[in-house]
Amino acid sequence: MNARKRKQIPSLFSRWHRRLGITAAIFVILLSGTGMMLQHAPSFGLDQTPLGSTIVARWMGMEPPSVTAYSVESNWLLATRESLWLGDRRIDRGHYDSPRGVVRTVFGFAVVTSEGHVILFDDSGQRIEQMRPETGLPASVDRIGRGSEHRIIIESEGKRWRAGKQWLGFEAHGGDSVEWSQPQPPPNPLRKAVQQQALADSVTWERFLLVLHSGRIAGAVGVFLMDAAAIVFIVLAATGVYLWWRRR
Amino acid sequence: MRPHLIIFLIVFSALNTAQGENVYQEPQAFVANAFDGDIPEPSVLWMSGETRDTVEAILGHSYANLRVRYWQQDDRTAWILEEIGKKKPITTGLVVNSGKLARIKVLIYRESRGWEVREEFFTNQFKGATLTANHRLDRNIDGISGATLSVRALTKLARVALYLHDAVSE
Repeated sequence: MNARKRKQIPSLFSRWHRRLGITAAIFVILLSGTGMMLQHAPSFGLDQTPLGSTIVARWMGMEPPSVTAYSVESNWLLATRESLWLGDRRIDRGHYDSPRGVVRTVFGFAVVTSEGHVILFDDSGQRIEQMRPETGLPASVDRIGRGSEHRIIIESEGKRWRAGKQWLGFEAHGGDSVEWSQPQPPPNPLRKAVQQQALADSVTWERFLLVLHSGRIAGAVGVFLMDAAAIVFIVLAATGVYLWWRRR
Repeated sequence: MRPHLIIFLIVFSALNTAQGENVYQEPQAFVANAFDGDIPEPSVLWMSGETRDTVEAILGHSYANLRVRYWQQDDRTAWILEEIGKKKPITTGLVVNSGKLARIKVLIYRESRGWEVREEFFTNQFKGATLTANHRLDRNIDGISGATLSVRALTKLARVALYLHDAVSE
């Protein structure tokens, strides 16, 4: 290599270092910003705060959740994956993917979750108490319904109990006929409203930031772009060190 | 290192940090013990107004339920309460006798770390504890390294049980 070419190398490195630096700036800002927010996401509650956009949710490949609904007198109780709704209003979060039944109580409603727990709600949808086998229930509940004199009956592995009016005690129940709670198809507008809201809430800010940070928001192209950005950062570090070393 | 020793260490390590539900005592058995087998009928305290505000102030967050269940015989009450340690609720049994904490026991522990709070060397510190005017315990509770959040959760539950005992005894 002659002396002229040796002199051109630092100038070439300097030129490309500047060009790559400008190009990389946008990625540095994006990655640093999203990275810092992800680092503190639980402190800011971003892991619990829904983004609230059906467009982003659909863009990320999410589908509207399936809905299980129960008609209780003039009200509809609907369950989506992780939420319970009174009409189109979310009243609780938990394991509601396929509830085992809902009945009317003197307080409001009793809902049997997919885990066999019973959750009592008042008429406005406020939770009164969650009952599990270890905290008040005689056993994990398979189904719930009404027996004679409208008494509430729960069943677990073939055994039946009659719930006290205040749900503080249970008596073994003999086997008269019981009308078991069954899901029913909800009115279409209500189903759609709940599905839309559940879909919008299915992506949290933390999840959105994560896909933004990784580039997955733009699919395979986004991941490739972030990979390319990472390579540019490495090149910048190397050319930066080289230029510093030359001018030392 | 021999392969079987490596496998043993991996399995031991996995078991040691295994997540799951560890039931140390069934809540019904705890309540039965609290009243020497003669369990009174359960009662409920509706959480509203000042009671709710105070409980939420002690816990440092809202209380999810509108009522809490308890058992009472004379001036002795038993409570099954839950508070989240890091991510999962710790089911705890508490007995209060004449305004003093007679017993606290971890009944169901679901976190992967911090289970040491169930040991008697820790829970014995609460025996005889009372509540001060500003709803704090009358003594310091020594923490356990690596179980800070569980220690905090149990201390809050002790304060809540003492406060609720006063509320139902009034």
